[in-house]
Amino acid sequence: MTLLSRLVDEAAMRRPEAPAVRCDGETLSYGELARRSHGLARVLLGAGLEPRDRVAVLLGKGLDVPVAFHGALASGGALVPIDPGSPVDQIVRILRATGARHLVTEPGRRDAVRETLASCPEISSVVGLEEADDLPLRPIPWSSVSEQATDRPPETGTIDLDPAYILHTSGSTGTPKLILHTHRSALAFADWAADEYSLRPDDRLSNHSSHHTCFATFDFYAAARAGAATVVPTPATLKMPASLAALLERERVTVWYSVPTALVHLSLRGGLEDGDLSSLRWVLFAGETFPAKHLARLRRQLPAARFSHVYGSTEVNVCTRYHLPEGVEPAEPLPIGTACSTSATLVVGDDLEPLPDGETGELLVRGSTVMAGYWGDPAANRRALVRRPTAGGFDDLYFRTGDRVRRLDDGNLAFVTRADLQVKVRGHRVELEGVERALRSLDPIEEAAAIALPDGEGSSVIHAVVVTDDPAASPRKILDDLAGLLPTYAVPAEVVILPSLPRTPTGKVDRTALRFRLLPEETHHAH
Amino acid sequence: MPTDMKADPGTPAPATSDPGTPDPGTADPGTAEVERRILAFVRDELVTSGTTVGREDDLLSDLLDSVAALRLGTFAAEEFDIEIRPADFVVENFRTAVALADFVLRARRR
Repeated sequence: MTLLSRLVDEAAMRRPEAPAVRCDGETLSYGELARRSHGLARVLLGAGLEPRDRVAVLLGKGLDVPVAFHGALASGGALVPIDPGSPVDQIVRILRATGARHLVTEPGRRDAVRETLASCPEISSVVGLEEADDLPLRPIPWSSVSEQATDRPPETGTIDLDPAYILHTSGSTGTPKLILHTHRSALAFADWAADEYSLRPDDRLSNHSSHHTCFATFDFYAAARAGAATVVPTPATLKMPASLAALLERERVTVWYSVPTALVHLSLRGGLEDGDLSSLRWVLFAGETFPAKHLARLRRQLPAARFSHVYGSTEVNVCTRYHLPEGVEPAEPLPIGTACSTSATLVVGDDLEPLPDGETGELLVRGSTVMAGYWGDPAANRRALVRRPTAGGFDDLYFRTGDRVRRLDDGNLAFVTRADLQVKVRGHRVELEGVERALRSLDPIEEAAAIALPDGEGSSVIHAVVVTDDPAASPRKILDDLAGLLPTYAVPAEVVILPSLPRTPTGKVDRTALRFRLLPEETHHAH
Repeated sequence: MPTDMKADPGTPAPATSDPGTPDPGTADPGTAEVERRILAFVRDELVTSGTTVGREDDLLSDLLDSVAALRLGTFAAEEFDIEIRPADFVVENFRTAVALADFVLRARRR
């Protein structure tokens, strides 16, 4: 198999009746998913889609999402999944930047689509809306997709080096990054994941993160690789830990992948002791530090599950992983482990030359799951993708992760800090993650974030934001407790207790939003 | 409506559609007052200012994120002096202001 679009077709040939996706009590079988996605591909081709045209998908959670994803791939186009929570100007930015000409959506988004089309005359076809006079073009309703449904995928001439999808980052800093994966890099990740976690047709993968994120590529494509089912909780269920736990139990979910925050909520408020989640055999987490006390509790609550700390980014998929040893308290902070079979890693200094083991440097990654590059941004590609000469007159192409890591004595890599989270305070180098770790080790604190703000004198001052529901907690008390854990220069100048931390769509702490919130009022209006 | 706005058929309907529960419009003033305070907190603290929120509006699908939903639980516990257990954080108790008010009154009696 060489194309991502073939995953569903092959699963459908083996077991057409097997469930592909379950959401809100409804099931889509692999046979039906294949037929409907071929129907969408034919609709798009009929609307004039050329090979490698970008097909944007703007849908909320539901069974239409996999149809749209696989349909876009089967048409020979490149899929552009859009965050369904995006405001119209963000949708417009993504459509323009990718040069998308086709949009797949749903009736509930008609107003947003109408507004979007007013700014995007390049869009030549819209699938998913009923005909009416309020749009500048004649949309194609979803019923056409059903009418054109067929077992056979259209012939498109797509090869494995063609674009499969372009993912966008949250863009809270302005312009979103657009990350292009080919059929080959996407499939390499699905193959690796299905193999590493021994995914089988009877597995059920949960889908926690929004379908436009790189987490969802595991939930949907690795599941399809194995012919397994993906269970998609409704947005309401995702917000109520006890409902989510009940869904996981009812659906007998076997594999979970998310940021740690979602698991912390589940552990604290999911009532896991009273349920039976023994079907859960793998819990994968990535993206942030998992606070040790919460992880230890969750492992006690889920004794049947193995835990895997995976490391990567949208640019590389997953490149290293650390399976927590069973029955042992893991080291703190958790290692990011060793390179996956699809990746090779290098720890380098500022000159991009390899460092001796044990020294801290930037992590470079090469491998078959690495992106083709940033869409439409040659300058960013020159910065992020670097060549290093190798034997035979060839070059290796490495992705610069921007993360600082260190090789431990046991061969595992340890994450030290994001290069941009390492700050200087009065001449001392401070890692903000270390400050956050110290904060979270304090008993009443549920979540913590540390950020550095300029002190106006060329140095930085650290501010911390914590979440706690302990009424006895006070900034004064927290700062006193921290004094015993951190060197004086690393103790935050100020601690603010907030009801919650702002988060990006994948659930990572939104540092840009925090910074904005903590900056003094007058700075907001400085420009 | 986007597909994610559909009611979850796997869970019981909000208790107000249960014929055993009095219609909040004619019930004791307690219910109306509880609903009013819940809605005031949602409008003042949890959603963008100016957002209209009705008593039957679906709070969980679009209006609140997971953190705001938890804050609503904390508010209800303090405001109405009830204990909210982990098992109470379920969709049917928090779906609408009507459903949450109903849960609050049940929790006060237990």
